[in-house]
Amino acid sequence: MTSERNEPRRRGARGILGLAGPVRLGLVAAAWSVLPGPLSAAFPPSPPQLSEVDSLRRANRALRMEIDLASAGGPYLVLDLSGRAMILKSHGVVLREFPFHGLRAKRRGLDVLFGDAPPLDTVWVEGRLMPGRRIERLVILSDTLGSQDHSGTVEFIPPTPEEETPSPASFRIRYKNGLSLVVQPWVGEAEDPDGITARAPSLFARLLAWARSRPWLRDRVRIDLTLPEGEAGSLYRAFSDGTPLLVMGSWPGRRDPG
Amino acid sequence: MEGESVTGEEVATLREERQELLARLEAIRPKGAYVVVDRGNNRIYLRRGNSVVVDALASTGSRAVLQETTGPKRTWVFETPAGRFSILSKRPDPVWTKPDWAFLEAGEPIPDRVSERREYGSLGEYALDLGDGYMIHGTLYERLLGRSVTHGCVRVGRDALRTIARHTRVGSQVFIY
Repeated sequence: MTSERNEPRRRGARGILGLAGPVRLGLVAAAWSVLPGPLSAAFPPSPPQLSEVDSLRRANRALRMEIDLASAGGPYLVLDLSGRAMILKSHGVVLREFPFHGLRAKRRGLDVLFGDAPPLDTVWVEGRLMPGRRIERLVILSDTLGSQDHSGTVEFIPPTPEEETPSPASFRIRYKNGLSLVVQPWVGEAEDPDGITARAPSLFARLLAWARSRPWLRDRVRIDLTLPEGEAGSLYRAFSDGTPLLVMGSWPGRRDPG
Repeated sequence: MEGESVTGEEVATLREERQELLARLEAIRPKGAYVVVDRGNNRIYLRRGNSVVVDALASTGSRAVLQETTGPKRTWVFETPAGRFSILSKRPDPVWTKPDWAFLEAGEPIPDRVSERREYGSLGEYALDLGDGYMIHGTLYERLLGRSVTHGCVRVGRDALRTIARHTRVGSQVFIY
């Protein structure tokens, strides 16, 4: 989960950039090019405690958004920060819950240096799975059926969902209005004390999954979500492109509404 | 003190609004037990409120395509449809009226008489009709549960099917995703 520790540094950066427009942009471009990873900052940057009025307003706003989603008819995801679960819902009822192990949110790109954070507790629309699932369809022609001699052949047992669609080492759900939800499985600690033998294949798998999630596509907000290994795979196989996401609940340090 | 009292009134108003919103959300929710089918993971759940009554393996559509090469040259896609359904009827000891594709698959001629299409016992103890020929039913092939092997129906093991049949009624909601 994010902490407030990075906040003073972010404010400092904003202060330094109180320069003329072109100079400021030049500095931003230089900073962008030398930083090893994506620019990020703790999120949300609001004060840690919300008043009861603010909490109730936020909770009511989230409820109104959920009523809209529930009335629309299709499935939707709710990232419940207070309940520490990703919940797939439809018509207001729970279809499936995915308790999460860890969560971290970051703002990315120039939003770190300029402007206010976009509201996280909103409806993120048109989610798209990356990498997408491949659906292979077997096409059977009727004149090839029933006429062969099947004696001596071994019965074909179709694969399980895990065999048919294995979950990548990590995957991303990218929303049209600027959120990337990066889901990683929590595999626990490696038994090998050095971790080399245990991590070597997973490092390659992680690199491959990272490349397939198209990391060059940057979004304003990124949420890293760690799910138990089996749950991450289940979410990967259950997610349908287009499913919206509602983030609701309180971040640590904020009070829940009564 | 005045500020505190204004805040107190606002809190009361917001709490009242919250109760109204919760009531609106409750009104959207289907009442009673409902069935959830997860096609990607081949699982079926029976839920009631926040509790899970059944969590079991199921089999859903294979997504295969059957193309008829002679005659009307029809095409069937063996996929379980996603969406919200209602149980239209609940039949104990159902009899399967085999559709044309079942005969094509077996390499047999398609019969004219309905009586020649009837098959007993293959749907298990119950069939819950969802419409358009789709059903939740039992199976003779429990070893294939958890795999995508069906022609679009949802196959369930005997024990899970008994519980689902006991807790649902005509009109109960089925969510397939």
